[in-house]
Amino acid sequence: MISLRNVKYVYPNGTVGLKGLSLDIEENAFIGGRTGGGKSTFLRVLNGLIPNFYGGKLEGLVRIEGRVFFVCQNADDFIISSRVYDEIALSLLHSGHDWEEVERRIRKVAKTCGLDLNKEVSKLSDGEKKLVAIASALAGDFECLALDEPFANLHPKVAKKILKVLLKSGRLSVVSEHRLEFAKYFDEFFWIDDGRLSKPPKLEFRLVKGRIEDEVVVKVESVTFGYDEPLFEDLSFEVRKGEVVAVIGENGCGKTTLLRIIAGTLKPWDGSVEVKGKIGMAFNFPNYHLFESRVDREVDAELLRRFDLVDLATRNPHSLSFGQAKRVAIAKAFRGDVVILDEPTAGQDYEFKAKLLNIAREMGKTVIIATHDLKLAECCDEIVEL
Amino acid sequence: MKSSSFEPRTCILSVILLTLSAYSFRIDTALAITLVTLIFNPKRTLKGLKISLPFLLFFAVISLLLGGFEKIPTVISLVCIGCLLNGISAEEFGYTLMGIGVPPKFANSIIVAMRMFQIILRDFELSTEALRVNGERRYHLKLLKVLTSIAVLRAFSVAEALYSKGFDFDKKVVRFRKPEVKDYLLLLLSIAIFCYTYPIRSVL
Repeated sequence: MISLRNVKYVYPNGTVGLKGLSLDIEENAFIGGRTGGGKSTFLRVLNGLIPNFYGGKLEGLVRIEGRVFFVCQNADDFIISSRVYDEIALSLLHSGHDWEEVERRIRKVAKTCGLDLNKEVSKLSDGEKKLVAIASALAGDFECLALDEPFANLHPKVAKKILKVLLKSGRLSVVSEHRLEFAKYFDEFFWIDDGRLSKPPKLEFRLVKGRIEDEVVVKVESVTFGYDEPLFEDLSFEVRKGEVVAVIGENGCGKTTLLRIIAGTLKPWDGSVEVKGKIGMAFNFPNYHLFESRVDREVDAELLRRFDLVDLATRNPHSLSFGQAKRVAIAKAFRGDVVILDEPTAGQDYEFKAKLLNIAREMGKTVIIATHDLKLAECCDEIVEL
Repeated sequence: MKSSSFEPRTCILSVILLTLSAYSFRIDTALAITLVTLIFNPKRTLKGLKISLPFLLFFAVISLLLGGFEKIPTVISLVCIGCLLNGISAEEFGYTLMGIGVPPKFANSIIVAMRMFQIILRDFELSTEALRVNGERRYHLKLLKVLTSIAVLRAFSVAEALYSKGFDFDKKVVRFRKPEVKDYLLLLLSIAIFCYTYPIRSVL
């Protein structure tokens, strides 16, 4: 059981995280809310990262029965070990379990989550990394699991499978997510916005129509590529000017790899890729793209306005939350003629899907999106399934 | 469970012997070391040599001008020896160190430091790719800015992850793996190179 009464929190830099949050969680709970609304701050309060690790000023009453295991939003930030096996073993070993027990638990959780224990973490896709992070949470003996956007990079099939395991694990699961389609599986639903509990807003999803020209700007012809073995063979498709194309497929099927081939950073084993115009790309981890000291130096005024970044204009891009930084990186990618985006809706509000597509269509951009968000994919002009 | 290309104890011992041999600055020893590492660890050695190529070229040019060109094979062999260590996973290396009596605080710090290095190396690769794809000008200065910021963020996120997982720097975790034929062979060849470089007669 988790109980919070009038909890207020101010980060050491003066940013207000929570503004009097009160709630009781008795059963598996789904936490919704806008980007930067305080969901991640709330989850960090649950396992004591706030205030013990972050510092700052925490006020109010926090009552938690049992220990909480927290998995942060970006799996890259969570995974420390070099191999899947070692990563799951880490928290178990430091909880005092012997090797025999560690081995038993790892085998069990790997079977449940469908993980290859020998795989190197650096060779995993973002979704697979997320799966490893969730697996290490499930392997431990914590009474409560606090997961920040656990399904953001997972294929719906895998997400549902993990969800089942989570809900049947007999522990209290508190999940913060933007993919609201998963809310129905939980016993309780909360909406945290502006640092406090609030009513969920009416979510609008209005799409504008774009103008697709006949000119082909991206031509992928008979492409074959893989690392140790082929990921895809003889893949061909075309993208016309002004078209928005979604690339979908299961975790680790090669979506990001395909984007990198289109961007020209990977050379296909066979086949060819032709791109007309300047490329703008945003990886899943946004900070790789940010090097200026202020957001308004990264992105011009028009894109700031279109992507609702005006309020963040004077902030240092690296001081932003994952979702906010991601939005800046996406806005920056829109300077290109052909925009390539990897999981753009991870860490973003539910309405961002519509906003992203509308901006692309209003600006006449050609966009290629790798995503697990099937709602977003359905709204695109074309779908390429790997 | 096997996680490294080499068994850490035999590998560490081989690295010590080969390094001592390399510091004799003999060309035949350097060639033997390079050959052995290329046979036992071909992929990592070639990758390591490729990455260090600018440094090796720089060293070659400087030594042509100032002398010491005959030291180049030794420098190459030292790079190859470093690649052998790269074949051991950070965790297995740390668990082995604790097993041979190194204090847990030190060994655990080595595990975290080795992983941090690998994580930042990956960040370097991806940041370079991100800047190149987007056609950024004055690319190296921007890369430096991105990497500096990311290194700070990574240090913070690794610390947060360690806290979340209840990582205890004083926790002693020991695990040894049985060496394979390959490990024994590497050790034997390292001993042979060492004995060839420093014959017992010359020591006596």
